Amino acid sequence: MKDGRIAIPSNGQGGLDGTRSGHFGHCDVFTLVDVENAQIKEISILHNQEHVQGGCMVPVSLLSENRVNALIVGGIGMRPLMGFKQVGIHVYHDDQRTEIGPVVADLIAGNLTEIRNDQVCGGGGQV
Amino acid sequence: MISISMVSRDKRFFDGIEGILAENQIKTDWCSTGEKALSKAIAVPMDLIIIDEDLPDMTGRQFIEKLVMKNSMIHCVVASPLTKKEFHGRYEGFGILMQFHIFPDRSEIETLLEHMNHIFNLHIKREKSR
Repeated sequence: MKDGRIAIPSNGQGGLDGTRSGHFGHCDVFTLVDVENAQIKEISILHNQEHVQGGCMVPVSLLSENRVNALIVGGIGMRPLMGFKQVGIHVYHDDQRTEIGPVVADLIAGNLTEIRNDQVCGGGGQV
Repeated sequence: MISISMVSRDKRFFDGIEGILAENQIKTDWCSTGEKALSKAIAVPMDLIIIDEDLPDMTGRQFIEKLVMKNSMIHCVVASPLTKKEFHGRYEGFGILMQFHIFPDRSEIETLLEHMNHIFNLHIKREKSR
């Protein structure tokens, strides 16, 4: 990824040295990483909104409004995945590492793959 | 105005719902098949769809899969006889707003209105069922 804004569902205060949240809908914050010419330009924190019943699409609107281009998740359901795709946010997958920094570095380096429809949680398959 | 589409092989499945929703200024319509409802979901702005799981042309699960591919922002309620565990297994990841019983009662509809209050900020005022 050469340019754009990456969002990572994060625990606590987030940040590049923080840890990833396992469930993007319930994460405390999103760590936002702005990338220019394949270099990290700026790190910022976006607070998640309350997760009410049926609110799995709230992060779709939130991240879209904040001009996010890419999201890195450990798992995701079919409906929010389609939501992100429909607003033009690419969803990448890493379910092994809890640290934020290494997965961001891998996405910038082009080493993460976009999650496929058959890799979603429940529904059409298992992550 | 919030718009809800109800989908079932028999319109009587949702008898009573229409009136309660109309009391809360919610517009409703009805489709007899999944395909008709999917076509409408593309053509007409819609906020929520309530489906009977046993549609004449597809299962509830197939309907939800097709719907999220077309428009993932539409909320869904599924009327199903499954247990809570079975329902979760079948619909996990699809963000179903709630499960109705077949022939839902007033308390279920009131719970739906509460969820809609949160999602759409409707500020619905209503009397609790007695």
